[in-house]
Amino acid sequence: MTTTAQTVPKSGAIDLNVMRKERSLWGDAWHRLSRNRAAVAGIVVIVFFILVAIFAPLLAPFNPTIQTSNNSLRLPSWVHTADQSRTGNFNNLLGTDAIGRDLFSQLIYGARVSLIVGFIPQVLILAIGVTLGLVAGFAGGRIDNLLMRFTDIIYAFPDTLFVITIATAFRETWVGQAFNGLLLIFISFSIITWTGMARLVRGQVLSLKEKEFIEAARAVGVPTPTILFRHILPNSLAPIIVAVTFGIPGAIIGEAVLTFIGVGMRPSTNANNPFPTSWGSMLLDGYANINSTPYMLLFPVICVGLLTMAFTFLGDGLRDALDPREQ
Amino acid sequence: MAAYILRRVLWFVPVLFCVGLITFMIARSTPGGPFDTDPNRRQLSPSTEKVLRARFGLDLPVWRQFTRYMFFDIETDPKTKQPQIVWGALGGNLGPTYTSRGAETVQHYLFTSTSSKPSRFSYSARLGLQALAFALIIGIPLGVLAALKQNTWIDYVALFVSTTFVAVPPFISGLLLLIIFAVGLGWFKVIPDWSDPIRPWVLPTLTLGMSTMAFITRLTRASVLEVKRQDYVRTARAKGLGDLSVNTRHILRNAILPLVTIMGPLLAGLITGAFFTELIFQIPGMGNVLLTSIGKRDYSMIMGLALFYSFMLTAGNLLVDVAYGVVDPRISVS
Repeated sequence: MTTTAQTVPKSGAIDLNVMRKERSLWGDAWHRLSRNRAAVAGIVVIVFFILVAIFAPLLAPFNPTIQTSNNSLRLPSWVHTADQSRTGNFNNLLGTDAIGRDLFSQLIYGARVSLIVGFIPQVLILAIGVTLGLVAGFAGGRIDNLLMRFTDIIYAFPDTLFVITIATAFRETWVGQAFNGLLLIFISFSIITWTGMARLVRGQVLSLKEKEFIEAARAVGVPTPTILFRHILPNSLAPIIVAVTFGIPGAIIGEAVLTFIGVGMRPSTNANNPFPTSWGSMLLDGYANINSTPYMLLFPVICVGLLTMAFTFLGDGLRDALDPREQ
Repeated sequence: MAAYILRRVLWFVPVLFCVGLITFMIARSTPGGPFDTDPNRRQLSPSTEKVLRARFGLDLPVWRQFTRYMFFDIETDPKTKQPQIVWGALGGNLGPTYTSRGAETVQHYLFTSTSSKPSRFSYSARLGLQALAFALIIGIPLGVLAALKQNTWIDYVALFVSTTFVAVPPFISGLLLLIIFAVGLGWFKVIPDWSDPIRPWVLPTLTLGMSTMAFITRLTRASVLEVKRQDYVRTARAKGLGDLSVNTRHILRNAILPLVTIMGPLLAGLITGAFFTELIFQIPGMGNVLLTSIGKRDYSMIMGLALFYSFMLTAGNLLVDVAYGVVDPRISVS
């Protein structure tokens, strides 16, 4: 014990200090976040849906692709009518859709698509936005000007229009077919919405670049990539996390809308498909049967609404927790 | 100021050029064409198709199709045999639509009203303006009230309403309103009857305006709270000015300023939100036109709408920036 304590040089002590400080920063943020009731409710809802998505095969009473005859447009279990073929029973807890598939099971599996559609484009957006933002902000001058003008042009594009156009244009190609059409949704969504991230990162880099600790790092000869990834990026992590959290509900709604207008996800009839249906596709079916069975529309609306609200509340909470100066 | 505006207006040119180019490339790479090639359906006769292709310039090289659409093209007049300049989007001509086989231009289809049928644009514009008015008329007073009565039940209600509505996107709130008020309670029709001047507009306006209203409420509240603490407000009160005078002349006037800055993103939100709202409530506006034109591969319509929407967004942002300099002389635009 004593020998190790003595042989640990000064650098060890510095490491310890750095670690403790870092932990307290994030611990502090977590503490503030956990006192925000809306954010905690958001986390609970998100974790709930993530668990539902992971354990969908165990939770769902039926396979959502299986169609049963003489069992279509059944009402939820608590709604009773004189019509024996439609009155609610406990076999189909939330009723069935127009071709006799169990709504409850569809909802459970739909959580998978919505969550994956929320997260994966964010990874792509991060990759594009952070790279361009870092380069533009750090290189400055002509490169910065060029990249930012490019960003401005993409930003001027109405993004809904762009996503819909791309989704329609490439729908019948292999990209559009891959992964039930989800791949195309990821791509079309990320290549238009990275602009906000690029601008944010560039702004962070510009303000951090002038700080003394960066100057000090450059003075002692730290190479540029190390400065970027060890000093600048970790210091701009907070606003990036907040932006990602706010981006997720946008993507979830994006999928729902695209599928709703018929150019998004393709519902599968293959019983072994891990992503057989999405809430967007349930919205489309529900809208078509809005007069006879409004429940078909109501349930996915509630689910999409809950999940997007949860992410927005979490984003609000994170913003307040990670940047106390904003308050 | 004039130089600034000029520079910003000049910036429109590359933006619209790129938007046009990108849309053009995407639209052209779309499989299928405006003329149905499905062998199971009735086909155009080859001679008709030839005439149509010539009329739309589909036989020209691709780059010339693009410049023809965006800028101008020199054509020989069939009667006088004289070359003449035909202006494209640059001169406000968005080209003939494919759906009408060239009988109607895009701008005519979108912007011209007849006595029996208002134009597509007027539907969209009315919806957007109503939603904006709703958001401002409810949002600003609610925000001011919440801030002036901070930590009372009014404040809590306003906060709860605004936090909830900001988080629910128009697409979801629209469907929810439709289920509750049209299907459940039967107050409105699911399929709108446009002969009624008010009823079919209620739900769409609420849908589109709600999240904007919530956003404005939050911003106004924060802004009023900020101004309330300023020294000049305390001075005004110390001079013995009445509540009403302090609240309106000193607090409100300064608290409204930040609202101008968010009008840009707000406008964008209203334009894109209008899309889903038109879809859900079956409003025959421009959003619905876009969806059908993509399905029909109506290239000129898609490009015309993309250019129009981009123009609106860019122009809106410019207006907001200029307005901000005008409203608040402390800000200098550069």
